[in-house]
Order: sequence, then C-alpha cells, then structure tokens
Amino acid sequence: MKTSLAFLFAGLTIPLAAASQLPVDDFSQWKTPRDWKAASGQLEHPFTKWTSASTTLKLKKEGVHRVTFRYRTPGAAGVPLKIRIGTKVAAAFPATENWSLATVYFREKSPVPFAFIAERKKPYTLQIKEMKLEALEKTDCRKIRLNADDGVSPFRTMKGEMHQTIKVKDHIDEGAAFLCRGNGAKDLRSIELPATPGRRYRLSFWTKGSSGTLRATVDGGWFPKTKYWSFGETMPVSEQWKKHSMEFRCPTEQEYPYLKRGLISCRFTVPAEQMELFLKGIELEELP
Amino acid sequence: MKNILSLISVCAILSCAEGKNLLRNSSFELGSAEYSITAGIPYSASDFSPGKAETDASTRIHGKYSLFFPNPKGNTMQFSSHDLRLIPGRHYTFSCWIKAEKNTEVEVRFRSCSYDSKGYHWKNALTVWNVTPGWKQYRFTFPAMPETNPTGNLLLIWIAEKLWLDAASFSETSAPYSPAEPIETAFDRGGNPLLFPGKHHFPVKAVNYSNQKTRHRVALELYDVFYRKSVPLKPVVFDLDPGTVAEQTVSVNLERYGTFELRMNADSTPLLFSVIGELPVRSYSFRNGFSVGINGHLFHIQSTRFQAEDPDKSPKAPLFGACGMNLDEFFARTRQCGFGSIRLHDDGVFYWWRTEHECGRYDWRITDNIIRKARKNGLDVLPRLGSSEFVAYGKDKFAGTWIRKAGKHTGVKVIGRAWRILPPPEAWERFIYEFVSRYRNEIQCYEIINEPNLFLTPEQYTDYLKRAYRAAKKADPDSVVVGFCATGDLNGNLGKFLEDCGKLGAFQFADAVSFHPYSAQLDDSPVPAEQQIRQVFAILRKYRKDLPVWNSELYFIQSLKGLRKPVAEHGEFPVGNLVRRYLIDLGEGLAQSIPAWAPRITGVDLRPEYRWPNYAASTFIPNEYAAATNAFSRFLECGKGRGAVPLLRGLSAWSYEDQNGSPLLACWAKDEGETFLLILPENMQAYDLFGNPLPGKKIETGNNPVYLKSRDRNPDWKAIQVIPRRKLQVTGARILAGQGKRVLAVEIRNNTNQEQQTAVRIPGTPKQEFTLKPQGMRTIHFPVPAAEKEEVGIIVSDGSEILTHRIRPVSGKFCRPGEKQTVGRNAEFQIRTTPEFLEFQIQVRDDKRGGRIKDAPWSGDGVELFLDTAPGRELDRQAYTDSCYRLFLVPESSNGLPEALTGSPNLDLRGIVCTLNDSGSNYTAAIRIPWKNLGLQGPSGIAFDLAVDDSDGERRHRQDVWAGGAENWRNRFLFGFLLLP
Repeated sequence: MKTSLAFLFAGLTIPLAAASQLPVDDFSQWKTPRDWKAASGQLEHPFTKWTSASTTLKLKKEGVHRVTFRYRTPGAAGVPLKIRIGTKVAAAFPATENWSLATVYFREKSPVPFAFIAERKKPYTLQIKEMKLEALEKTDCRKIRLNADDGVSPFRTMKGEMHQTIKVKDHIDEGAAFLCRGNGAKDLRSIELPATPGRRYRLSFWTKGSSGTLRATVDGGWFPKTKYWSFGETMPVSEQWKKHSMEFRCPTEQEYPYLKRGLISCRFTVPAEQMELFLKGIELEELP
Repeated sequence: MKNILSLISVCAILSCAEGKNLLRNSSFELGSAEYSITAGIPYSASDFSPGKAETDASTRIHGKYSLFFPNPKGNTMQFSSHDLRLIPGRHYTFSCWIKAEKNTEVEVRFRSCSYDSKGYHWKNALTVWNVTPGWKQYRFTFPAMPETNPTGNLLLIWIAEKLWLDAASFSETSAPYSPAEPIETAFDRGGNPLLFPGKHHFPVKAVNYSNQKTRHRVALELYDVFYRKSVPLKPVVFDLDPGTVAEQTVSVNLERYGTFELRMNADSTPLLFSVIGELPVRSYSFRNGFSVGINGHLFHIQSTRFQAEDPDKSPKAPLFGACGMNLDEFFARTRQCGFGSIRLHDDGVFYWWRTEHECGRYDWRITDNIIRKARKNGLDVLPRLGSSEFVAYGKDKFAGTWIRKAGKHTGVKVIGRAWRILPPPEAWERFIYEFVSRYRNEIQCYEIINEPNLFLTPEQYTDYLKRAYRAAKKADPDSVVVGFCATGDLNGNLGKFLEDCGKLGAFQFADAVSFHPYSAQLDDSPVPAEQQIRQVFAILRKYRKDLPVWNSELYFIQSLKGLRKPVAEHGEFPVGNLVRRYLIDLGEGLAQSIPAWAPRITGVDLRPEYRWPNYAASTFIPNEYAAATNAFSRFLECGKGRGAVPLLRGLSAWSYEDQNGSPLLACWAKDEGETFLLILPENMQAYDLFGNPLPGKKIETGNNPVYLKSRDRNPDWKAIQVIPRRKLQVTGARILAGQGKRVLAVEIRNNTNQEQQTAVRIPGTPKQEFTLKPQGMRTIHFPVPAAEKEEVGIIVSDGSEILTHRIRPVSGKFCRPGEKQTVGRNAEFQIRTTPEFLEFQIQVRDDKRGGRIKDAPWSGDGVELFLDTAPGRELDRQAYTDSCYRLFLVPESSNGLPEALTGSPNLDLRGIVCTLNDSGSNYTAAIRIPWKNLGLQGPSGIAFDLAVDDSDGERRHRQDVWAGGAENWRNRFLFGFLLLP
C-alpha cells in the first residue's frame, strides 16, 4: 500500500483579536515531489519512507507569527508530523486519528521557508486543511491557552503511554481535557509558546487524577552547548479538580542568551504508579 | 473422677472444619474466660453479690479443671458464651459435661438477634436438661439458622446451688470432645472496665492442650474504638509445658481518654474498657445545677424462667444482672461516666402497678433499692410516675392488674393502635402521695406521665397533673413536680399540647416542664433543636415565666435530612450527636438533659453480633458514648450556657462557663460531612470529644464537637479564624416555576467570610458566573434535566477548586390558571389570577357534614390552603419559612361551629375575600387573596397546595391533598406550583 499524502486546503479567514492574517500560497503552488496530483484543492502523492511539502511564507514584519492548521494522520500510530520553519524543525505534532487543530508560534525574518515533513516505515495517510498564517500583536501573546478541544496537538508525549483527549463532564468548563494513563512515569511537553525575556508570567492549569504529585516546568528548550534554563514546581494531585498556578520570570537575554528566540514550552511530569492524570484549561499569561 | 478424656484426645483436635469446636476455652482451663456468669437477682433483694465461677481441680472431665458455680442463695444463674459464627442452614450440636449437687433443671438456649434494613430478626432455640449429681454428657442439636442469623450465642440457666461444667462443645458433628485449638489464650475479665489514665496491668492466660512443650508468642495491640486506630504493644511469650496453664501480665500505659480494646492475634475476645477522668464532684443532685442523665438505666438478664408467674399474669419483674458488679457498683460506674441522674422509665421494672400490686398495699423493696443505692452512689433519680397505666395495646400485658381493671376504658383509639385508659384519679393521687412521702428524704423531683400528648387530651392530663401536684406537695412541700413530658415523637405536636395545657392553667401545677424533642433533634434538623427550645420557652412565658425546662428523653439523635420519622430507637447514631445535644440543651438554658437510653451507653464485649445490647452485655462496660459523657461532665456539669457565638455560618459554636466560672467554647460543623479548620490564638487549647488535648493550633473540626478553653478570663472567641473546607455549597435544588416555565432552581451558599467568584453549571448547560457576597446565598435557574427524578450533578467552582454536588431535586405538581384540578375523588379547584389577586375556586362534594373541634379548623370539614411565596429560597430547609402561609376555610359544622376563614399568624386576612355557598353537605367556595397580602407585588409563580378535609362524625376522618400529603403542615417541599404564562 502506498502512502499517500492528501493536502486539503480550505481558506478560512477568521481574524483573532489584533492578529492579522497573511496570505499563504495555495497548495497547488507548493513545492512537492513529482507525480503529485492536485484536484479540488487536494494533493495526493505516493511516497516511501519520507516526504515533504513546502512553501515560503512572506511575512510583513518581524515579531511573533502563528500558523494554525487542521491535520490528522489515521494509521500513523505514534509517528509525529514535523514542521520545519526556516532551517529548524519548529514543532512536531502527535499522530491522531481525529482532526486536531495544530498551532505553531515562531519568530523569523521574511521570507521564511515552511515545510510539512512526514516520515514513517509503514504507510499512512496525512491530511491537512485550513492552514492559516497570522502576525500577532503583543496583546495576542498576553494570554495563550492550550485547549484540549483542539485535539492532542498542543502536547507531545515524551514518556509513557500516548496522551489523549477526552470529554469531561465534571469540570466547570465544558469540553475536553488532556488525559495521561498508565502505570509508568508520564511526561508531556507542550508546543512552544511566545514569551518575552525579562517578563513575568503565570502558568495555570486545572488538574485531577490519581492521588500523588505533578511537576510543572517551563523551559526555553534544550540545545547542545547552551546554558539551559527551567523553572518548576511540584504540586499535589487529588481526585478532585484543583487549579494550580506558578509564577516565574522569564530570564533576560543577558542571563540566558538563547532565550532571545522568545519561545518557551511547558512540561508536566507525573511519577510512576499514578495511573491517571487529567489536565485542562492550561494558560500561560503575561503578568503586568 | 479420673480424667476420662486423656491428653491423647488432643490428637483428635479435628482438622476437619465441620467437627471443629467453635467454643473457646471449652475445657475451662482458663477459668471463665470467654464466658460471662451472671447472677440474676431480684431488685427487691438485699444482697446483690455477683455470680461467680471458680476452677475446680478436684473434679473434672478434661484437662486439669472444671468450672464450678457456687450459688448459695439459689439465684438464677446465667452462663453465656461468646459469639458463635455459623453457616446458616446447617445443624449444630451443643454438648457439655455437667453435674449438680442435686437434681436440677438447666435451660439451654441458643439465641440470635440480627438487624438489617428490614428490622430485627430474632431466633431462639431452647431445650431443658435434667441434670443429676454425677458427671454426664448432655447434647442438643439445634435447628438450622436462616441466612438472616449467621451468629448466635449460648445461654445456660439454672438455680442450683452447686453446678459444674466441663468439656463443652459446639460443632456440626457429634465427634468426641476436643478443644478448639491446641493452644488457647484469653484475657482475664475480672477487672473494672472503667479506668483512669495511668499504667494498668492486664492478666493474660494461656493453656497448652498439646503433648509438646510450646513457646507461644502473643502479639497484642491497643485499639481505639472511636478513632479506629491500633497501637502495637509489646508481645507476650509463653513457654508452656504440655497440659499446663500459665498467666502473665501485660502492662499498658493508658494516656488517652476514650474506649479501647486490648486485642491479641489469637481467636479470642478483645478486652473492652473505657478510660475516663475523675469528676470534680462525686455526688450530684438536681439542685446543684445542669447535668446530663440517662433513661432506663438498669441492668437485667434475659431469662425469667425460674421466677414465679405473677398472679395477675403481668410481666415478671426482671432480675438484676450481677456480673462482675453488684448494684452499688453498677450505679457507681454510671456516676463515674458523668451521668448525674437516671430517669426511671423504659427499664422494665418501674411501674405503678408493680409498686402498688394490690390497691392500698405497697411493696417498696424494688424502688427502695434502686433509689437509695443510686443516691448513695452519687446519682439523682427522676421517677416517671404514670405511663402504661394510661394506654392499652391489643395484647394488654397489664390487663390483670387491679389498676387496669379499675381504670376507665374510654374506647378512644390513640397513637393509631392503642386505647386510652383513665386510671382511677383518686388512686392515682393516693399513689403519688405515698411515693413522694416514701422518698422525700432521698429525692426531690418527680415527672408526671410519659408523653401524655399521645394519648390524653390536655384536659385529661391537666386533671391528673393537678392531682399529682397536690399530692406531691402535701407529701413534701419541697418536691419538684416535672410536668407535661410532651413529645414530638410519633407526630405528637408538643407545642400545641403545651399551649392547650397553658390555656387550661396547667402550668400552675408544675415546677418544671419536660419535653422530648424527637421532632427537632439537632441544630441541622428541619426544625433546628434550638429553635424548638425557644418555642417551648416562648409558650411558657405566656403562662408562667421562669419555669425550668428539661429534655427528659431523646433516644435516637440523627441529623434529619427529611421529615420522615426516625427508623428505630435502636438505630446507631454518631457519638458526637449525643454530646451535641447536651451542648445545645445547656447552651439554650435547659435545666437538665436526659436524652439517651441505657443500651446506647453499654459496651458489648463477648457478644457484639447479638444486636440487642441489653441482653448481649455481660457486665456494664461503659462505651464511647459514656466516655464522651464523662468528658462533657468534667467540663460542664453544673455549668451555664452563655449563648451562641456566630463565628461562621455552618459552624455551630456555643459559649459556656463551667462550674468554676471558667470560660469554654464548644463548636462543631452543623451540616453532615462538613469540616472547618480552626486556627486558634496562642492562649487557647482544643480538646476532642473525650477530653483529649488536640495538638497544635490548627484544628480540623467536623460534626463531632471540639471543646476550646482559654487562659483568658474573658476570651475573645471571635479571634479564632474559621476556614470552611468547602467554600461553596449547594444547599438544595428544586424544580419550580420560573419565568413562565418549569426550571431547576439551585441554591448556592458562600460559606466563607470573603467574596467568592462562583461558577456553576449542570452537565449539558453553559456555566453561570457570578460573585457571591460573604456568607451570601443565591438561587440560579437551569433548564429542567430530562431525567428530572434522578440525581443531578451540580458542578461548582470557586476558581481554585471544583466540586460536584449530587442532589436529587425536589419536584412537585404543576398547574396553570384556568386548568381544572382534582383533589381526591370529591373536589376540584381552579385558579384565576389578575394583576391584583390570586383566586381559588373550589367545589367540594360531601355526603355528610360532620363536626370539628373549636379553634382547630383542620379537624372538621373544610379546605386548607398552603402557600409558599418564595419556594426557591432556603432550599436546604423543608420547614416553613417566613414566606409560608396557611388559610383555612370551614363551613358550618354539625356541632354548631360557624363557617369561618382563618389563617396563619403571619397572614393578614384583611382584604381577603371569601364567598361560600353551602348546601349543608356539598359546598363551593371562592377565596380571593390580594398578592400584597402575600408580600408580593403582583402575580408570581408561587408554590401552593390545597387540601380538602372530610368529617362525618365528631372530627375529620380523611384528608385529600392535591400535591403533597399528611406532612404538608411542616414540609413546604411537598407543595405543588402555579405556572404563570
């Protein structure tokens, strides 16, 4: 069975807050391998082991930009969908049988190469649609939510069984929560989120699960030969929903030069033998 | 006699479970361990020496000893085993070697008493053995027990002066005797089960039935019965030669108050005891001030087999169960527990007819012993004079007594199932005079007739009370006549009874008023306990100020979530509830609190599976209820209440002064399951229910009271910080009329002293967010869920915590204006509304007009209206609020009472227009009520109900209600709703 990549593109233009939407080339304009077929906004191409579809994003100014798109990867079974922006892999989104809304934040100079990268030994189908590019203002970055209603995409499971999203009936907000299950230790890492060095932030979230503890950490990512920064707290987990928050200062560029990239991510770590952990309403908020 | 069964029989210690002997210490090598021996002694006796059992090495069947029972007085001796666990449906055989000095009968009984949701299950099987001098083995195979009765115990009862037992067996087969285990250990139970803190020594015995020397290690632990926690103790090691018995002593440092079990890791009965503190005063009298008492506190054995029949065929007088204590010691233990008094009622002993067995002839022996020994040991006594003499059930146990025969059988049915009897008033008065005369130097207080509001009219009671008062004062001018004893139990309307008696001038014939607050048990009852007490005082103030009020009975103290009648007098209730009641009674200014009944305070060690404690107990072992009473009395006997202290809603807090004037605060979470964190100032110390100091300044307080003491003479209790565990609480949910449709109303309460940002939703609906003021409440509306009769999960968040409250909404009937509604088979109504008024148009078909009682419109033909204009408020309270109103419309009665429209005191009848068309039997009516009379600006979706009363004779015999039922008069949640467009 050949792997096929089907790109479905629907141009939706719903502006968010002060963010301004920027045009993205139609998929028919994208650089794709030979023998790709395009019909009715959908691209399909048989490939073996590795493939990619790329374009160039034209940005109007510097600053934080956000790309969102919906994707699903039925049959991918654990293989992430990677995004390369510029020269680096900027994000990797978990495989999912159901449509998930993926978001990636970045700061780059225009024009910036953008590519989807899919790789797997066994064939599967990758579907992508509704891709949108936005330039964000400062106000857009003041409060960022990781929403389980978007699907599994806001997190990657670094350790333990693959996380999932599940509708919860006992939370004050309707909708879904992230759920980690299983006997072993669990570790979730979020997508990278915009953060300004030197500013104070609050990470807050609702959690419940098997009684025990949870460690919440924020960091600037790990890079070789680079001084690493992180900040974390251990919180109790109970069988009732409780809201936790931790406040921290994002160090300055002088303290940690690599943080000038302006992106951090958060991690949630649960020790082994705590069978379940639910997370909902995760927010990173810049403090005045 | 030589050892017939040699040690070789030990090899026959059956490995087969069927043949296993279930009786421990069955060879009695450990004396009477695992058994109790009680001498049943008439309360009229002069000697109450307890029953004895001694090991006798001179004659035996197995091992080295038999068990010998000397009984020179020929008392009824009752020998009881520990609990035996059976397999229902199987047959068990009890066998025992017995001999007596002379031919004698021994009754053998296997008894079982279990309890489940269906009630009690009693099973008894008995036989009689004719025991002769000379050892002989006797056997009996009992009928199989049903599934409801998986445990039981054995009783042997006799009156022989000398009897021996040995080699007892209880098993499924009739195999040769063998002990239950090759090594057996047991505690020695001879000691006092009431101990003071300190080091105590407990003997432990062991026997080795095997033919090998054995080292036997016994692990021990001290178990706290209330907190359900164990502390391991140093084990005991026995080195036992074959066929020998050894004894060691276990030393335990008892540092805490409470009730405990000393347990070992063997199949043996734990040793049960309580650790209490010394009371400030050994001897108490009602004159001294407030105390707590106990009802029905005597101690009987079950069997009356060997007692002569009463010539009147009345119940035989129970026998005092002298087991490990005589009557003096029994009362002394009772006093040590902190009880100031015993109320002579519901004890099976104290009856008028038993004292005056023939008209004019008195036998004072029983009451002499009880009253004088109780007084000697520091207890005061409240005899309840008059009870069963006034009421007869279908099988009248007292039918043969002269009092019953001389009484007037009125033919009036009372309490639904008994008949009113009026004993001869002159005999009554004479008896009171004789009784008070007899005991004028010992006691002072006498209670007149138990719960008369259930079976006497106010007029009848007043007459008997007046006579009793006159007689008592003639016999002893200083006597204190405690009158009324009105009950809220069995739907008794105690307030109305007191009011009616007051109107008759009855309060001039009493020096104190007693009542039984079954209808308002605790502060979280639908009618809070303190509210009822204030209502009682309010009634008394109208007729006679400053009469002291006593709570003289409240056997079951449960926080009522519904207005259903409590299930059974023997139901369990938390220990803390008893102390709460004491504290409420003292806090509200009652003179005495005598709520509990004797079985409640009696610990059962050997036979806890036998669910009738009176008969299961061996000796009087005061349990955790008694230990908690001891703490209360150490703190507050003869103390005074200084009023409630409003620290935070949901936390009941009362201030007191002890007998030395030192301040004390008692507090507890009012609602079941709630907890609060108290943060105490430096100078305060907290104590638990038993008087144990609680460490630290952060005290978690649940429904069990906590005592707080301060070093300051005038402490500022409000300096205590109170933090509720649940900041927000759903107090209730109800389906009612809102905005022209049915809605689910949910009431949320802020338990804290701060504003709370609140969010609430039910599944399937968006959340509603609002700010709740400190201690504020709000009712919000949701769509009615599809499964409206099911529990609803209401999700509440304060921004940091989410809790789901599961609650079953109260629901009711709905109707719209203009819709015809039926009430029963013979009445209809419809409602009309205008911007100015609410009108009920009612048609009643009635074949016969009947009578009614004056000033009691509900007692005859008529219509009752129930109105609740704020049905969405106070959803945790079924009792009427200020927004509840009642109207009564009655046509002319057959006994000449005129038609009338009356209402509840809070309803202004001016402006209410009523037209009544009366044919003499049928009638129609229109009742037009201005909205403003109900405190409303205009049409509103109120809750209401309509009842039609029917009388064909002297009084009402039937009531039909549109929505609710018989409890409408006190439960507003039963009403239906008016749904306005």
